[in-house]
Amino acid sequence: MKRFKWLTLLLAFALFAAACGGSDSDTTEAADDTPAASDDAAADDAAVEEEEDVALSQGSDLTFHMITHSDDGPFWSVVKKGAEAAAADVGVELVWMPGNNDPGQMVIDIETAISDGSDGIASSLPSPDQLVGPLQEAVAAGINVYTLNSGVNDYNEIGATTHVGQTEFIAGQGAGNRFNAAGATHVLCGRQEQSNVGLDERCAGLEDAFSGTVTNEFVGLDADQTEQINGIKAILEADESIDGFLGTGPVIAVNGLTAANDLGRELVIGGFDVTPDIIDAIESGAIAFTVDQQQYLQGYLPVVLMFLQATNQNTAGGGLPILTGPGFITPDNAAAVKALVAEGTR
Amino acid sequence: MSDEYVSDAAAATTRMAADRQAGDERLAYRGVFQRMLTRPEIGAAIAALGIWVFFWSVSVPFGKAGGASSILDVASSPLGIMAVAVAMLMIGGEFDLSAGAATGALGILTILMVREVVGASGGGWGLSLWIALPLSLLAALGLGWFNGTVVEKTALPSFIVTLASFFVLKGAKLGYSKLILGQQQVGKLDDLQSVSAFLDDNGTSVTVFDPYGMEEVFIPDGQEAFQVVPPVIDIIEANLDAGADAFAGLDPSVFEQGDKGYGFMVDLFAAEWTRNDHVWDGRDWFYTIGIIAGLSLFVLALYEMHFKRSDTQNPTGLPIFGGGVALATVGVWRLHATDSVAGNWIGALVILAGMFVSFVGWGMWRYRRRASTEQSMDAMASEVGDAESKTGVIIAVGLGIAAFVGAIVVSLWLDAGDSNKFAEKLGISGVGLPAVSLVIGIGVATLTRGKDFTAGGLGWFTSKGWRTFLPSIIIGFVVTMLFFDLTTQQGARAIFFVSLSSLAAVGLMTGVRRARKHSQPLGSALLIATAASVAVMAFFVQSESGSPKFRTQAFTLMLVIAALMAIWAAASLLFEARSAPDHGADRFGVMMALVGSAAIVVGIASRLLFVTTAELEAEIPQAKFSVRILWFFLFTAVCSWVLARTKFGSWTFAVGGNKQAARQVGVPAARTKTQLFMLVSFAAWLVGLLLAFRLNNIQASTGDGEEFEYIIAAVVGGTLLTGGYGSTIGAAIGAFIMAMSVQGIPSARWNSDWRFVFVGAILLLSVVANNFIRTKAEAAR
Amino acid sequence: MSSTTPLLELDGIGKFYGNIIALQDVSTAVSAGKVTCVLGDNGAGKSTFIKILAGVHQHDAGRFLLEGNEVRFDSPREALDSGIAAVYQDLAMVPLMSVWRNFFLGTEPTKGIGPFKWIDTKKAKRIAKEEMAKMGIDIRDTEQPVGTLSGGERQSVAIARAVYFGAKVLILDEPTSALGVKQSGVVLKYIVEAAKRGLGVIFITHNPNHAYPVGDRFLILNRGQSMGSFQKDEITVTELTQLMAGGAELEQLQKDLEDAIASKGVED
Repeated sequence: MKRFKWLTLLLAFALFAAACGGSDSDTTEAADDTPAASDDAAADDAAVEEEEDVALSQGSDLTFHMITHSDDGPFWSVVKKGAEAAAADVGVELVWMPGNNDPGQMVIDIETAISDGSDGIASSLPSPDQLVGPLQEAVAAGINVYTLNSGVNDYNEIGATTHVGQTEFIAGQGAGNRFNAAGATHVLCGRQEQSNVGLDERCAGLEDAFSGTVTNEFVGLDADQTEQINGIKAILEADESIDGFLGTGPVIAVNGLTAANDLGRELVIGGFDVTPDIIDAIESGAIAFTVDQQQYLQGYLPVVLMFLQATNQNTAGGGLPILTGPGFITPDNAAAVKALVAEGTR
Repeated sequence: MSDEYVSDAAAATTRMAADRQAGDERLAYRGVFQRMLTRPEIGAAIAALGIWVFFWSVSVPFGKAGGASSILDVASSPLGIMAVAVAMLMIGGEFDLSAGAATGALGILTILMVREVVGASGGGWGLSLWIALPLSLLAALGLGWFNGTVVEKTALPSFIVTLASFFVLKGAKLGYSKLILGQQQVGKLDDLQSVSAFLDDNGTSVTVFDPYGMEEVFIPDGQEAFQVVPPVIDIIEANLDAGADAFAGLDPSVFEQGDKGYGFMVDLFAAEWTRNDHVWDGRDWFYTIGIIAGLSLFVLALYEMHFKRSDTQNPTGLPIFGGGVALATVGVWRLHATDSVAGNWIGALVILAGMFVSFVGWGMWRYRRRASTEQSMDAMASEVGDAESKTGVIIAVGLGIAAFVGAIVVSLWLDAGDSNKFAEKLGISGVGLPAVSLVIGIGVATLTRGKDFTAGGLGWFTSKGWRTFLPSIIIGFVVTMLFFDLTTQQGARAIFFVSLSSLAAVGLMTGVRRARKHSQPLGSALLIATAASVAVMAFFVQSESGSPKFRTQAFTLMLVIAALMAIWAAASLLFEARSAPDHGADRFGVMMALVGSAAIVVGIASRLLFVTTAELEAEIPQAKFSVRILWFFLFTAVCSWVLARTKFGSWTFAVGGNKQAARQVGVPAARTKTQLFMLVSFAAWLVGLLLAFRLNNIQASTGDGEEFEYIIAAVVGGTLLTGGYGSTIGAAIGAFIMAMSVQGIPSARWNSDWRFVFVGAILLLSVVANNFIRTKAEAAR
Repeated sequence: MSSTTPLLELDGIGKFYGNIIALQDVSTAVSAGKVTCVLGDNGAGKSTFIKILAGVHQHDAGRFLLEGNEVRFDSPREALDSGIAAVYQDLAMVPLMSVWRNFFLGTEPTKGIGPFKWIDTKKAKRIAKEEMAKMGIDIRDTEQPVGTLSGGERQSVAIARAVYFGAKVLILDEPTSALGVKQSGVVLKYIVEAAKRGLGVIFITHNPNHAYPVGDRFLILNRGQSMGSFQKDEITVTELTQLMAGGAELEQLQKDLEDAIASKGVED
């Protein structure tokens, strides 16, 4: 009996190992097929290192540092692609420093960039309290500083040239206008997190721009989608007048569609951010739109702006932030965007 | 000297044995209600019923098919299935904190095994589902075995070991799906299919493998092989061992038509029942009869367990019983045949009369008549003289009447049509809030310091009462402020009405119980009075309520309850209650109660699952029921059977209750515990599979942190945190309670920011209620 | 087995933990239908003695004869299979489980085919009730949790269980120590009852007043040493008490006590 147990375990491990091995080779095969995928694979390999020098510069001696709270997830890998593409286009060296949601690491990265004599720093600002100080030091050291993604409220205090990003409130307003155009009268703004300021701002923006009624509720975590779907259903059932649904994320938006289908209700559905799922749903016309941050721009623009400021003394933005969104993916452009998502630039 | 001692001891034991024969001093006879309460799941069931009634009264979706389908959906999978498995493990004295993360991990593993490789967004190994399922099951059992073995070999607390497993799984899910797919979600099980087709050597048939199975298709004369390949295929990887030419004329369009033919697996794990597709006009008939028959059987079961069987059965009772049943059936027919108010009333009265007659007939047939009433009247006279019991009855009844009046007054005061916040009605800045919180403070202080209060009027006010009074006032202030601010007038009206009338019912029933202890006629009289007040309440609801649901459903239900109470009161007067156990009667009673519950469940299910033409025309919202619910019921049933009826079940209780003792008598404790861990990971595998078939996209975070919900559901269901005691049915009910709390808040349209406050309060209340009931029941043992 | 061969015989048994002598040169015998009492104060070596008998520990010296054959048990299960059942004071039962489940725990009667076997609850409840009745206890409801039984009744469930599962020798470890006077009487009666049914009973206690009425043979232990093994007619209860504590010490104690009482009287 005992021996049998060990055998079972061994077998399980062997199978697991075999399965893993198989998948690795599969990935490589797949990577050979498309150049974009091979970039991805290379990026994945390199992402293992703490810092990474992407030596793309041809003849220029400028070195820019991009310091973010990136976790190299689907969102940030697009930002990184944009930054790399811009560095290649203008011919500078770019150092990509992913902080992986650790502000402490970002502080160290900023100090490293200063001591390396950087020609320009672009940084995200997830926690201003810790990061404003180091970035002010960078400005004091005569380095051009840009903020990206988050930091729209603090870039002036730092003395950064401008901020490149999307404000959630404006993105929400954009969604509100879309619902107005679609003729909705009562929109449920469903959130997938209970205490995330960004999601609240999306709903607040919707409330601001939308001419009808907005109901703003937390309906359940992405981690428990069963609960999320049924949370949406409960509200839809309790209020027959709801004819629109804005999910503040891609997963919740698709689940809103599931809930509406289950109840046999026809809603105007909008979402935020991009996944293959939601694009499929938009392509088929079941979801009206999703709000796209166009994060590729958040990587591309700062590099170009830093290049222009360093070489031509241009300062863009006029003291105001540069918005990368909201961009919208609708049935009209879904097919085109789908191809770009596969390439990893949307 | 020694002889003397022996004889003394012998005499003592003989005396004790004699005591026992006469009726054990420690084994007092327990009434039918108390006996029922000793089951661990009964407390939870009562709490669940209470929560349902509460949300039913304050929200729209509760009580509708759509709302029910949502509650069943949330309760069944992942929560219910996992709660049942976790309850088994907890009864066995261990915890598994990796259970939640395991559901996501195993779902992701299964998907990755099946998905085929298509670049960065695809990933996976493209195995047939028939191979992937056993493989992932093996991995699941391996996980459980690992947890169990490490816990047993190291003797570390399972809490720590499985916490480590939790982190490993959580990390592996994220790391692995990102490594393979470059994103935090792994997609869906059924959107990609790889298909292989093999032509056999004779060229007479084609064997087609797709992720959902294998099918052999014979090629008719005059057709080519490619023409018989089923049109289910998105991507073809035809592996042409023989006769490659047979597929030469392959027309891609053939393979993109038709349904996807997922077949057996999809039916098994993802089938759905859409209510609006199933019309059954006779449904309401079936429903009414099911409910009435079920309730009646339930009451008869109580009869059987409560009254003394007569030595000689009286056959004249039977035809009376049959006549009553026939009369009630006629009543149901009348009810459905007419649509006028008068017609409905006639129908309802005939049903009631029928029920009354049949109950009396049944009683005459089986039970012993009460001794003469004169004696009882004497007893009544003497007992009522007993000052203390009289006070008890008066206090309880007084409380009941006060609550009853309060419910009506509050409802009249609050205007139902107004949907403003309750705070505005009351004027929160004025006297309202302080006044209400003062009342709450005094109420709580009086309840907790009741003795001081009754002993010396407002004496508590000057003594220790302050200690509870001040905090109560503060808590009352905060609670009322939150409550007022959150609730609309309409909601507040429903809440006040439901809670005050529940309080009235509890008070009156307590009065009845206390009175009956001393005098049956007095108890019966009070019970009839209570029934009458319930009926009054029903009419009040019908005339005053703004909600159509209340005006019809609540009204009917309350009238039926009043009628049953009155019938019970009459029966208590007619027949003698039992004072000694009668196992035969109990068994029969339990059987009748089970059949009755089944009838009620079937009746409700018929109403949930089918629509009538009228409802379709009124365009009622659609409701879907998934096969996941059946998996949940099946899993609960199997686990309950295993726990109650098999060696493994006994051993589970034993290793959780006293591992040393279990070992000593030869129970393989380590093996039992390991198998329990494997049961949990099996459940996680099943849940992962159901999720994989259901969701568009499994997130890497799926299930993380959910393990505490499973544990809470088990505890709410009466399972002890320390092991050795509990129930899987209780855990299933606990899952329902959790699901209702989660669904109730959005259904009632309360602010979701407060959601966890409500969830917490409901959980606390149900656990307290459960515990209270159990200690009451245990004390009666 | 002839009537003259004792069921179980110990000859010069000893047990050492390193250089500590836990038990030395202990001899006694247990016959069918007789009660052998093992008496000793705390730390006398009673628990070592019982653990050797029950197979938890193994003896280092002397001979252990079961029905005339020398044996050595490596595990409690082995001892149980040879018919030696031990009932421990507090480890015997699972308090939250019902009487019948406890009674059959580990050896549940099953019916059914192949892997689908279930407990024959009817049979189990009936047998549990009958066996308890044979011990003179009327358990009305075998569904009752053992935890709701009194201490004495719990002991008797364990005794009845051991008897039913074919024990020849029953070892009772301090069955009366946690019980009140009345309950102790009940357990003593069950001990006699078990012996009457042909079992050899080893009754371990530190209370000579409990041991003397039921015992047929008395083994007295003190600090790991045997103070002798006596037939009932060879000894009185007073002598038993004195031997247990080591006579001289007890006399000293008595004197101290008397002094204390006398001085208390003065103060009053």
